[in-house]
Amino acid sequence: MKPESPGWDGTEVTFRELFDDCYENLCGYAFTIVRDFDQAEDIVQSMFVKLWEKRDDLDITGSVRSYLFRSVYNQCMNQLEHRAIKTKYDAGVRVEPGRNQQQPDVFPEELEDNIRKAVDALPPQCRSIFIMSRYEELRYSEIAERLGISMNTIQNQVCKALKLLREALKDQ
Amino acid sequence: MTVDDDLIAKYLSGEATPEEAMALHDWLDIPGNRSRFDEMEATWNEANPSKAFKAVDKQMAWRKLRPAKNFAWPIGIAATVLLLIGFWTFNSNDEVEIVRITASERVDTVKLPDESVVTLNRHSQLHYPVKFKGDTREIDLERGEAFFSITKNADKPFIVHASFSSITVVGTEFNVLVKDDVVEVGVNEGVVLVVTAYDSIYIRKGLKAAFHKQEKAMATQNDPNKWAYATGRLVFRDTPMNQVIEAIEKTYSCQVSVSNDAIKKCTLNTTFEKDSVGKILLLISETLNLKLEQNGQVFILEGDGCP
Repeated sequence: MKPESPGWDGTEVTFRELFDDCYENLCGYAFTIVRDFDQAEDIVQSMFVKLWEKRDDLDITGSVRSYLFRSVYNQCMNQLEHRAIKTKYDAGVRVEPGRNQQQPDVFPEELEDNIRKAVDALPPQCRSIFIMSRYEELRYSEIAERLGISMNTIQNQVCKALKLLREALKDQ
Repeated sequence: MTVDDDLIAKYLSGEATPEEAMALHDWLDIPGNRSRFDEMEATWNEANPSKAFKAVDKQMAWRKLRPAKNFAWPIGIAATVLLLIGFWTFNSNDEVEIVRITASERVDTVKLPDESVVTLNRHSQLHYPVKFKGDTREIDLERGEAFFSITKNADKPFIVHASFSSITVVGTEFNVLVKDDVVEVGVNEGVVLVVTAYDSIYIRKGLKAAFHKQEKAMATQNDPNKWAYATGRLVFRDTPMNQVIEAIEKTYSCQVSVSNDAIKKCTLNTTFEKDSVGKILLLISETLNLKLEQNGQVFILEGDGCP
């Protein structure tokens, strides 16, 4: 583990160190949320640009890494919201909460047979949740609303799905 | 915070809080943990290959972020102009082109998009956008010194960012010097407002103020000869020669020696306006009954001096 990340003193050296330290991890994190590589990088880069521009106005107490991760999170959330609004405008479709949990047919076409089979083989609720998270790209809160179950359950089920899938795919 | 499979899954599905994400990355730095994460990530990716994470090109990203300082096409030795395409992404993809001007051995004069004029002293660098969009005109003095002659526009204030300070004007003439921890602002015409995180102050014509990072600023009398590099104007009113020489050396980046210390005691009462350094020294030598010699970049004044 790297020694204590540099604190913020507004200099270019510190900026570079922070960048080297955090850039990839921040992109990774952003990607898990927005699920679009270019957007993820854009968000992180914009954040670093703004950080540099406002370098002397910023008052970051506490861990700078913490600040960066929080900023990225907020930016990603904004992006998702923006997307959701855009989608609503474009599609004019409203998702009804709590609808019947039929397995939605949202496998991307190019999925390999073995994957499709492995996902199909998951226990029912586990499968629905996994599909909603991985393919429909719903947030846990949205899944919870749809299925009327707790966030904790969702979290467990996604984890379970991953482990089962790994076993299934390993055997092939 | 324990990093377990649950947390890994939560992270991969984009539900990790910033604190959890940080904890995960810290945990990944510990040898042995990475493989567990990689396994789960691989499964996650295999489940939907079109949505797999690509490797990040950190070097490329850094180059985009910070300008390539060595890239330049020289226009004489006077100035190097670097073009940086900046990335500003909001919801649209607005790319703002920035012009960066660096003066190294010579003073350089730049005309801004709004017809304002900036004279950049040696060893200085600034940047500004190709177009002043929005409600303000903003320019960044990255280092060194610049003299600004700003066209008046009350609807679109002009802002100079200099280190930790911001200088706002409507239309005026002023000088900014950025030095380590100090920013010095002096006003030639009009009024400027200087704002730092610690203080803000109005400076009027004839005054200057030095701003230190953690302190309040005070306005003091200004010496306009300090800006002769830009204005071309040197005013001497019964000024002793040691000060005259100092002013000339600073303005023209040269060296002036005297053969006899008594010369420094002589006083000068003249104004020079956009004269070359050679001409100025020649006139001085004639006024004070001295001889002017030149040895490369060094000028030598020889003679008896004054009592």
